[in-house]
Amino acid sequence: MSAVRVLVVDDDSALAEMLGIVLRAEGFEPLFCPDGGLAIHSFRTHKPDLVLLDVMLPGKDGVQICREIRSESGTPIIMLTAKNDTADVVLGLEAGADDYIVKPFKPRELVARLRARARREGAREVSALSYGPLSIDVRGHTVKKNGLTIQLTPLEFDLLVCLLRKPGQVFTREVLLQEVWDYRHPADTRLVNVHVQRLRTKIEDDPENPTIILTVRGVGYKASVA
Amino acid sequence: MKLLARWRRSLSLRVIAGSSLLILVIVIASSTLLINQVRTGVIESKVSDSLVDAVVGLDLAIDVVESFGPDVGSTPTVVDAVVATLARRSGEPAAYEVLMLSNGGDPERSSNLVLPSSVPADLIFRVFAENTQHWTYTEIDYLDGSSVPAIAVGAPMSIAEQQQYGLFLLYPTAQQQQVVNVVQSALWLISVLLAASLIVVVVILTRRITDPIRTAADTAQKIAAGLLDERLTVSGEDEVARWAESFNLMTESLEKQIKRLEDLSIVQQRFVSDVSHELRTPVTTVRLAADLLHSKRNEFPPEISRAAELLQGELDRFEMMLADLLEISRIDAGASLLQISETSVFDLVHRVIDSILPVANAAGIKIEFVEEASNLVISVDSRRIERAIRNLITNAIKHSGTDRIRIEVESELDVCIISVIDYGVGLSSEHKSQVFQRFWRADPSRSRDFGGTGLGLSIALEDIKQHSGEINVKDNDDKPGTQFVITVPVSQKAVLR
Repeated sequence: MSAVRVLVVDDDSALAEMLGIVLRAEGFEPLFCPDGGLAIHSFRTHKPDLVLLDVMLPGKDGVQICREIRSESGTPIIMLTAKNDTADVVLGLEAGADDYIVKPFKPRELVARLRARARREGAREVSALSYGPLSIDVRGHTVKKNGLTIQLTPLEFDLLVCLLRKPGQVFTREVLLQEVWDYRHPADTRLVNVHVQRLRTKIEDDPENPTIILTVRGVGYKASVA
Repeated sequence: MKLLARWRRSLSLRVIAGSSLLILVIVIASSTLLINQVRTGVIESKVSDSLVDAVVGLDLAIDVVESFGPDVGSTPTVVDAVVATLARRSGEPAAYEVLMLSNGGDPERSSNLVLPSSVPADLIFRVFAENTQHWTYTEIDYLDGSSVPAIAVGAPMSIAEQQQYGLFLLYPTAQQQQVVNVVQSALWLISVLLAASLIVVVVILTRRITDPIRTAADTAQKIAAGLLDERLTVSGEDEVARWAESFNLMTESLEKQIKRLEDLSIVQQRFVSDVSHELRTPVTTVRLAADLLHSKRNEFPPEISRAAELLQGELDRFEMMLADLLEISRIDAGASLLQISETSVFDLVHRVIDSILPVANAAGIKIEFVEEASNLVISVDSRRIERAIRNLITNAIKHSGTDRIRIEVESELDVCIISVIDYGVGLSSEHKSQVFQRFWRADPSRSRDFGGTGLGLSIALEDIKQHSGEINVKDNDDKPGTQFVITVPVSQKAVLR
């Protein structure tokens, strides 16, 4: 298996270089883009396995880049953010980021987050699922609704599969963070909220009144027993 | 009670009531005066006419008496003659009624069945006592029970110098009374119309003045509630319009000031946010580098290996300080909002103790938890309350020199009281007042070794204050040591903002 290629989009050359050193030491192959304006171009040329994206960039805002990448690819995106204010984090997640990590972080944290996303990309169980109007080819990583293919990011796909494997079972946000995001410690449950909402807009007929992924008030989410 | 309150609160009500009262008094007084004048004028002329006529009548009566000569014979015959003559003179309908009364007790004579009660006893008395002509107002009582207002003129008369009689002529004033009545009712009608229209004018005028005031009061309340773009409508160029204009001007300048302060606050928040980003990026780089060096420290010579350890340790402290500093600036900028949820105090304190246990164990300090309000549920930002308690415990571990820490939870009415008690060296009263100051240390020469940012207690205080609570510091009652007592409302809804 070749090394996982990580595109680091960060204008701070020192941090980018240091990230490169850490990533290489951990067996990743880092690629660099120092300018937000060139990020999407760099993404298209390199076709990385993962994107590490700083929120504040010259040229173009990280949230905007995130939205652009998401519009053409499901490649996992991890945002590097210096702000853990609710508004900024939620904005990034809504733009399509799979996960975020707050500066300053320890190398171990970063590597753990990257590994979690990369492993998801690599290992996937073989089976096919059928659920109401949805038919899911887990190996082929495709979802069809009434015969039409729906574009899901790997994260959204994992989230959907996780919920649909056990219809009717309630998953708490904490359990989903463990199962889908690979978090070993308590983390930000807003990750789950935002991604469930994104997933609903893609698979539900009416995202405001979901019939597939239901909210269990005060507990978490479950797939309806259809 | 309600009416009284309305009276006190409504200027227009008081003005309208006051001026209405004044208008009514003036109108009633002037109409009464006018009616009295009319009555006096009309009746008085009748009186003087009657008196003149009475003198003529009296002369006629004397003539009749004298026509009988000195030898009168039967006095009743004379009386009858007098009454008949005078009654004849009165004409039809009678211009007056005639009544003759004797001073002795002889039967009275009268025209047209007039009762003797028509003449007031007072008048009879005066006529006989003073032996001169007198008059008064009265009512003529007829035998059939009817009566009419009249003027009674009486004069003494002697017949044959033997017997005293009183001749009374009763002039009806019904006609004059009718005139007065017509004038009176017309006057009352005018008065009512006048008073009503004056009151209407007063009401309208008062409204013209108080309505804008009331609107302005409502608008001012809205502005106070935060609707800064509320304005009064200006119409015309009078005093009210000018006043509304200056009111708007004032509001405008207020709005500008508030906007300016808001902008300033936004700028400051953005500054804090930018600083956070700008500082955190280099710190991240340093952190990554230090971590790399630290993980490879076994490959370095001893001095450099130690340097890598120190670098790592101090970087932890620097990060902590940076985080605390940013938190303080966020609180100062008002950018730190509470995220309220219901939580059990028991669970909350246990979470804190669990998180701090490794540090306490390392320092050889026992933590006791005594909870009297065992299942108290409070509505707070649990992250912030946990942080406050944690900072108090950390402070006790690091600075008090105690061997155990006791945490007590009580509830009292609608507040929750959490005490963190140590049995260490205690604080002097001077130090108690300084302990929450930023970067303050009780003993600068030694405490720095214990690490910490010097901001822990300040942040704890801000956390509690934002919950409308307080932290008090006091000595233990019997043993040495210090208590930090947190008091927070059980529910943030009950707190008035």
